[in-house]
Amino acid sequence: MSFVLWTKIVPPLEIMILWFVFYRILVFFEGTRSFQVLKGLTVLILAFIVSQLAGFDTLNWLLTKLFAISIIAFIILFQQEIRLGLARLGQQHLFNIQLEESEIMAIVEEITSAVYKMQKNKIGCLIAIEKEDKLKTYIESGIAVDAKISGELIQSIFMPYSPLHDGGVIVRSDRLVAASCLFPLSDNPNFSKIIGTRHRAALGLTEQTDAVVIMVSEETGEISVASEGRFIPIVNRERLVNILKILLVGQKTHST
Amino acid sequence: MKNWITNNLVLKIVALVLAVVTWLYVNNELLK
Repeated sequence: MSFVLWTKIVPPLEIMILWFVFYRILVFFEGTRSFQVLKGLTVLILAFIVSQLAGFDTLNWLLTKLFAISIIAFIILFQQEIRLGLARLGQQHLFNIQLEESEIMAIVEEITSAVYKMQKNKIGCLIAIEKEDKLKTYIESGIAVDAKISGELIQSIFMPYSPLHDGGVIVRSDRLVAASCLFPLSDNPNFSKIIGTRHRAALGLTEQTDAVVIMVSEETGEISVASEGRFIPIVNRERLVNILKILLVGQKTHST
Repeated sequence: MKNWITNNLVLKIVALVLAVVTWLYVNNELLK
């Protein structure tokens, strides 16, 4: 490849790389508290560049100072989100055991049957299924169970007088590894005022990890699935099975 | 393919504007 040709390719290539980096940053922060701040920072960057190009020296001086302070403030205010983002970037799995589709569907069937029985009796529940991101921190916040998953086991845990019914359970591969686990609560301004603590916990966990969370509301008996910081409405049993199949089989469930 | 383009379109456009403006700014600085 000649040098002249290479110099023509470099600018669009650089813009594409920059575009990808900016896009990934925006996607990472979308739906979180930090996204609002990120929007403000973006406006500040654009105003700074425009003032520089237009030769507005006073404005440029002010914006330079403001921009430097904003970056430091952003790092301090959102250190948790930044830490999680970096942890995700460096996440490596040494040992992965892949489940067969039939095994995943058997787990889905157990969870679905338990969820519908609990819905019938208006028993609230919160079930998190681990995917690529490890839920070790949240497992440690609960009580270790480590039993083969079954619908009856899930129902027993969430019975109102069960000592383990508070918090959520975590499913890893075909095992229910822990109960009474505490999940992070979502700070999403679009949801926090209209949803209950269980829903906020489901949302919070799916914002910070790639886990899939299934929950039943104690008040309404409504079933919801949360994934990637969003709720997926569930209207019937088939829909629940299909959604779980897409979310779990689509990318295959892994376990350590 | 269509879904890949239209999904998160606003974020993609904002990221593209930022990328182009940043590239132009940095190049302008390098040429000084």
